[in-house]
Amino acid sequence: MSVDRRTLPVPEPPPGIRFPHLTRSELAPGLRLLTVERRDLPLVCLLWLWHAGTSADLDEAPGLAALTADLLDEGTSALSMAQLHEALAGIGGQLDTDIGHDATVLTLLALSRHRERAVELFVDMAERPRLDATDMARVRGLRLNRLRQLRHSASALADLLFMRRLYGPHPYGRPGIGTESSLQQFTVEDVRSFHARLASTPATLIVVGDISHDEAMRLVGRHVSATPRVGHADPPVASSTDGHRLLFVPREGAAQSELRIGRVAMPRKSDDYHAAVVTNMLLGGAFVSRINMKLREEKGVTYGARSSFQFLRQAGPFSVQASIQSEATAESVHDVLVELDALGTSRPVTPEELESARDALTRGYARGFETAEQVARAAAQLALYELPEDTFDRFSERVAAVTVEDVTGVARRWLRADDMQAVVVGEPATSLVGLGAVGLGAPEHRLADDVLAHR
Amino acid sequence: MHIPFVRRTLANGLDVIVHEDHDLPIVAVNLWYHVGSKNERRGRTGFAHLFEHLMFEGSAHHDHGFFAPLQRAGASLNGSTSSDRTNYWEVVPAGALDLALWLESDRMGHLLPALTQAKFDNQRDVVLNERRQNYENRPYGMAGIALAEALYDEDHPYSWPTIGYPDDLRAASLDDVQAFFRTYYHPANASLVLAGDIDAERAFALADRYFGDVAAGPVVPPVDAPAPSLASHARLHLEDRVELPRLYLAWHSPALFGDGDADLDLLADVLGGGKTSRLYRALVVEQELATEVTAVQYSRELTGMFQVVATARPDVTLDRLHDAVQACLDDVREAPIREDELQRSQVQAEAHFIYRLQTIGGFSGKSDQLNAYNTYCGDPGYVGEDLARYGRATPATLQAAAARCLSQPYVALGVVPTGQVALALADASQAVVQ
Repeated sequence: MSVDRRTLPVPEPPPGIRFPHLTRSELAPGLRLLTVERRDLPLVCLLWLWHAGTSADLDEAPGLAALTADLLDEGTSALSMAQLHEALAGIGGQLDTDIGHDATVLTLLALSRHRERAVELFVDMAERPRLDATDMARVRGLRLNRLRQLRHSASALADLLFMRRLYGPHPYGRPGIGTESSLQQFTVEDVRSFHARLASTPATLIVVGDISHDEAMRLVGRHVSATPRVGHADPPVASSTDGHRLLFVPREGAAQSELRIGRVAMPRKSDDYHAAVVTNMLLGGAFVSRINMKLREEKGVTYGARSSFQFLRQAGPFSVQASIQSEATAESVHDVLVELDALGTSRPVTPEELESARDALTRGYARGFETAEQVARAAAQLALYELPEDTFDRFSERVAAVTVEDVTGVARRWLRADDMQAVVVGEPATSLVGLGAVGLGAPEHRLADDVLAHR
Repeated sequence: MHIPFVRRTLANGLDVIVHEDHDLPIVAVNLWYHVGSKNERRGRTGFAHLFEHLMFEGSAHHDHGFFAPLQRAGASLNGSTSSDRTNYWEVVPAGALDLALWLESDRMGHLLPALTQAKFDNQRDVVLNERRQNYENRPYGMAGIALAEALYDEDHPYSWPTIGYPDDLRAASLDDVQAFFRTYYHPANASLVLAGDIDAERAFALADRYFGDVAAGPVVPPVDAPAPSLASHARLHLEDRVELPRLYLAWHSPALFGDGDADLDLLADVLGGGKTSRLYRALVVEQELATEVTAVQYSRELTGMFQVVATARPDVTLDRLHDAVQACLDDVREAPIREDELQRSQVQAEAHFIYRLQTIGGFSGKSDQLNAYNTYCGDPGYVGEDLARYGRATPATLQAAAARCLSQPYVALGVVPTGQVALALADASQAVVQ
C-alpha cells in the first residue's frame, strides 16, 4: 500500500489541553504552597521561588543576589557543604539555582522514595543556608575567576553590554553576575543580610510529582519558618536610554561577530503580550521565521539567528541575536533592521504567515507541560507575574484571536529600526567595514575590560 | 526498570519500535541512521553532519524546507550527528503524525532529486559558520579537536571531528555526498521509534504505509578499526583566547557497553560529579588549585575515552594541577573507593535513568533511548540490563577498571592564553589543530 506523494497530509486540529490542576495553601503569611500531584514516575520536583532577583542588588554593588544564590547549596545550619551534597546525591538529587532579574529560583529533583529527606534538605537550603565566611571567600574567588573568563566569551560580552546599553542605570541594566570591584568588596555579613532580606520577601514553594498536597503540606510545614514575608519594592519602570546606538567591542582575530539588536519593550502583564508572542514567532522565534530564513537559509552567513521578547515584571528587552561571519557583519545588521521595519510598513504579516505562527504556538502547546520541572516552572510564572489561574488554559484562544492588525501594531510600536540599538563584538578589521553606514550612527568602541571590570 | 515496546522489521529492513504513552496527546517520531563521522575517511570529513543539514532542505515531493509544515502543525523537531549515528526527531500533536511520517519517509526515499548545488553550497556555508560559532570563536573550543588528533592514529575514525575540517568541507562535491547518501541513508541502516499517544497496531500500519515502499539499500559493513593505543605519554599545548589555563587528560577506555564501561562511568562520578566528588574536594575546595573540574567516561561504539578536565586558578601552574589530579587517580588505582561513595553514584545513575523517562521525544527522551539501544545492542529493551550493569559494580570492579584504564599512556593537553606558552606543561609540544 503506497502513499500519495502529491500532497502533504493535513493534520487534524489537536484537542484542547488543560494545565494540570494546582492545589494551593498558605504555609505562613507571604509563603504559598502550590502542588500538582502526578503519579506516573517515582520522582518529585521541588521549586522555591523568591520574588526577588538581581534587581534587588544595590546600585553601586551588583552581584550580591547572585553570590547569595551561589551559597545556598554550600551547606546548611545542620550540614557542611560536603555533608549536604552527600545527602543530596544519596536521594538522587539534581539541584539547580537560577537567578534572574525578578526572581531567585532553587529547584530540586529527587526520587520520591526519599521525598521526606528531599523536603528537609531543600527547605534547609532555602531557609537556613550555612553562609560561612570561608565558604563565601572560596565561592567569591570562583565567581571572580568565572568573570575573568567571560572576557573571552564574545556572546557573554555582547549580552552584558547590550543590557547595559538598553537600560543604563536601571536595575535590569546591571551585570547581575557582579563586577570585579563589587565582588571584591562583599563580606559574609553582606551575604547574610541579603539572605535575611530574601527570607522576608514573599516566596512560593511548588511541589510537583509523586506526592499529595496534604503530604507536601505536612512535610514542608515541619521545616519552614512562620515569620511573615512582606512585599518588596518592584524595580522602577524602565525605558530605553539615549546615546550611542551602536557599540563595538573589538576582538582581534575573532572568527565571527556576535550581534545583538533591540530595545526596551514591554512587561509580562502588557496587553500586547499575546500579539507580541505571535509577532516574535514569525519574525525570529522559530527556525522558519523571517530573520533566520534571511540570514541562514538565504545567505548562509550564520548558524542561526533568532529574536525574543524577554517578559519581566517591568518592561523587558526585545532582542535579535546571532553570531555572524565577520565579513557579513554590516550587511547582516542592515538586513535585520530592514526586516524589523518591513513588518510594520512595506511587508506586513501575510494571513498565511499569521496562521502559521498562531498554529505553531497553539498546536504545540501540550509539549510545554511534559516534565515535572516544566509544570513547576509554569506554576512559578503564574506566581511571579501574578497571573490569573486560567492563564495557560486560555493561552491558545488568546493567541488564536491575534489579528494582522495586532501584529502590525506591535511592529509599529516596538520594532521600528529607528528605535533600535545594537552591540557588535567582533574582529575590527573585517566586521567594522560598512558598519557606520547601516543607519545606527558611527560605532562607539568599548573594551572588554570596561564591560566587566567596573561599572 | 523497563520501557514497554513492540518491535517489527519491515520487508525493506527498517526496524519499527512502538511505545505507547497516552498521558498527553502527542507522539514522538524518532529516526536513527546508523551513520556518523566514523563512516567517513580522512580528507573527506564532515559529510555525515553536512547531511543532517541537507536533509532539512526538502525532498523530491516536498522541495521546500522541512521545518515550515511541521512547525505549523505544532511540532518541535531537530536532528544531531555524532561519530556513531545521526538522529532526527519530531514531537507532534497526535493528529499530525501522518505529516511527520510522510516527510521523514520522503527524505529517506527521495532526497537526491531535490538536492541541488545551490542548497549544498548554502548549507556548507551554514556548517562553516556553525564551526566558527561553536569551536573557533568559543574559549577552549578547539581543545576537543586537538585531543582527538593526539589520542587516535591519523586514520582512526575518531581522530577527526564530526563537524569536519574546513578544507574537506570546501572540497566536497555534490557527487561525493550523493554517493554517501546512497550508501548509508536507507531502511536497512535505520531504526524508527514511534512513542506516545498512539495505538501500536495503528503505528505499525502507518510505518508500513509511509516507509514500506522505500527501497532497501546495500548492506552497510561495520566500521573496522584496530583498538587504538598510545605508545607513550603525549604532552601538548594549545594557545587560545582564554584567561585561565586548562588541563585536559585523556585515556583510551572501554567502548559503549564494553567490559568496565559502567564501572568507569561510576568512577567518573565519584571523581568528578558534583561537590562531593574527590577531584572537586581536593582541587577546588581543599587545595584551591582549580576553579572547576570534571571527569567523564565518554563511551562510543568503537572505543571509549576517559577524560579529566580541570581549569587552573590564577598563578597555579598546569604541572602542579596535573600532579594533584594524578594524586587523586593514584588513590583510586591503589585502594578501592568507599562503599558509600559507590552507593551515592549508583543512586544518581538510577535517578538519571528515571528522569530521562519523563519525556517521550527529543534528545534523550524515551524514544531516543529505545533507538539507541536498538542501534547499538540490537535490543530496544536493553534499559534493564543497562541499569543492572551499574547495580553490579563494586568498589573492586571500579578499582580494577581504573587500574586497567588509567595506567596506560595518556594525552595531557594544556590550553594556555595566546602568547603565554610559558604557562604550558613542561616539555609540551604544540598540538595539531585544523
